[in-house]
Amino acid sequence: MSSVREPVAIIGIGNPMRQDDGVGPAVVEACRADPIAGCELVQLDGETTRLLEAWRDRELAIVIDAISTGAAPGTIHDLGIAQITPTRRTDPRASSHSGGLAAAVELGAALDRLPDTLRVVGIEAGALDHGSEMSGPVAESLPTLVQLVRGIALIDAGGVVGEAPE
Amino acid sequence: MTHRAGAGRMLSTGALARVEGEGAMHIEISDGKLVDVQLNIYEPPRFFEGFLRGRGYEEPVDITARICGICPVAYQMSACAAIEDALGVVVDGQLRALRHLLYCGEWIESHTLHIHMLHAPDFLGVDSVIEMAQQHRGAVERGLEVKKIGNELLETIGGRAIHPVNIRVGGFYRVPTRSELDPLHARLQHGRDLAEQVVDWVAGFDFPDQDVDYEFVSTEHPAEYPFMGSRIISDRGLDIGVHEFPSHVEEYQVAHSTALHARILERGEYLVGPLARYHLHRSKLSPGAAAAADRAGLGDQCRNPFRSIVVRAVEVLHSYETALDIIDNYERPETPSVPVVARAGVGHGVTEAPRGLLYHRYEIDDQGLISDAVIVPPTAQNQDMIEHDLWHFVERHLNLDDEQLRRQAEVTIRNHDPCISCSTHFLDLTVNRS
Repeated sequence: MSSVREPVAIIGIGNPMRQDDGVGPAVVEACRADPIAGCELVQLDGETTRLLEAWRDRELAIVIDAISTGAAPGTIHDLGIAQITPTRRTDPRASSHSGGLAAAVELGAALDRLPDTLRVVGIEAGALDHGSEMSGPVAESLPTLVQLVRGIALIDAGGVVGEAPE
Repeated sequence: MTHRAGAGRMLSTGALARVEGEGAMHIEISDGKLVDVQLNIYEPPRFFEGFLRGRGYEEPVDITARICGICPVAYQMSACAAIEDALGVVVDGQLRALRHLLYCGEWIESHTLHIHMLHAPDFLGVDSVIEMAQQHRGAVERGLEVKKIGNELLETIGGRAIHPVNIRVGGFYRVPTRSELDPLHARLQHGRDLAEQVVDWVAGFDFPDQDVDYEFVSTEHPAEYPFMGSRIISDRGLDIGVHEFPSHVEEYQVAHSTALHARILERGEYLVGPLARYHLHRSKLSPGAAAAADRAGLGDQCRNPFRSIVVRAVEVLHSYETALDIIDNYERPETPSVPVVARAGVGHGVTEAPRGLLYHRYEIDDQGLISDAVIVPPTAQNQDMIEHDLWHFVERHLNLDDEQLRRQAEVTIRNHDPCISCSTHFLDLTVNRS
């Protein structure tokens, strides 16, 4: 129903009630406190079709998600589209209704529904249990993560966004 | 994974793809005969009923919405129905119509996701929607649009599409103005037309023959194809008030599932969901949906679970036409909710989640706190029937090689769109010390 789309989207994926899985939404909330003009803030559960819709027709989409690569909890991974591989789709525990980020990238490519530029910022999760409290390392990395995401939005968008006027 | 031992063979799928949640399947064949079939649900227990105890009566509406990201409205509606029953609150007129409208959005979203992302690939000979997008791009794009309009409906009425926040015991926090609903009309009309095409599209798939002797169970409303019913009926004579559900349906544990199974007492397994609703309430479909069902050759009843994809598509069209009707007749209620006063009581509520009947029961104390909660989701109720379907399909297709048999058995499970995340909610822990 949105009429005019902002050229940039910051998309936080995750469930704030599963500890570090809520880091994506937490970044979105932090950005909401200090808005960036031309930039839409979106929170999602990671379901494929909602992701496709969230980044459709954008010049730049920055997706923030908790990830698990074996690195130390709180480690920040700044990834490009080529590094998003369909591991979740082939993961024997893969749940289907969400499909996940990798499936959204693949489906977006098949349907020409990817943004001009897609950046994925992952943060290594340390705790994914029930609860809203993030683990220490992830909570400590949050300010750096927010700075990184804001920097990408302001620099990579090639001048289409800017600090919001007072 | 297949193991062979002598004349026997055992097929295991460690993780079912394209179902919602974490489950597995186990089939055992010995001396050329099928000896065991299990739908294993190993998704961890989620304890929702446990942690609702001690919460205020206003809270289950939002807490139970978190059980599922695909059908949160169903949980909100059944929770409202049960708590309003306990508190003697009646929500009717335009407030009820708005709830119905919100539910239409969820049926559209959930069914369209299953049709296009999970089920259609089975009939088109592709492994996933990604492969399907390469070969049937127009169909996938149409599906995304049909789903997106359902999303817009959820956002407008529910405040947001995922875990809507605008529903409360007694009604809503805020009700839309006429001018907020007007722009939806054209979008819903567009969605309706696309949904009609989807019915015709899926009706053309090739379906294996299977005719299952289900006992169909659904809620019942005198005038509506059921979303929010007042009774529970079956095609074998069950006709009970909502509060009688626990005395007719028994939940029980099996070793291989973290989700409870369910059976009608002294009778056995039954099926809830689109096939049941269609069988019991076909005459109440909206005109366009009824006509599309006729074109699709569904007839008065459909007992072939593979054709459930067609019934889902008919229900999507019905939801669009129902939503248009509600918007056409909308008059903004004077207040967004009716008064609610806490009191002690027990309440029961059933509504029709996309996957079928969803029952909630709450006991509320005189402080307005929940002292007991029971939630019986549709997938838990369908587990026995899914295993029954699997048994009969495998038994008749033992000649297939293992890979074909595994694939077809997975389709048999997907026919019922199981939401394993929803159904997994219970663990009875006993500690023996000696």
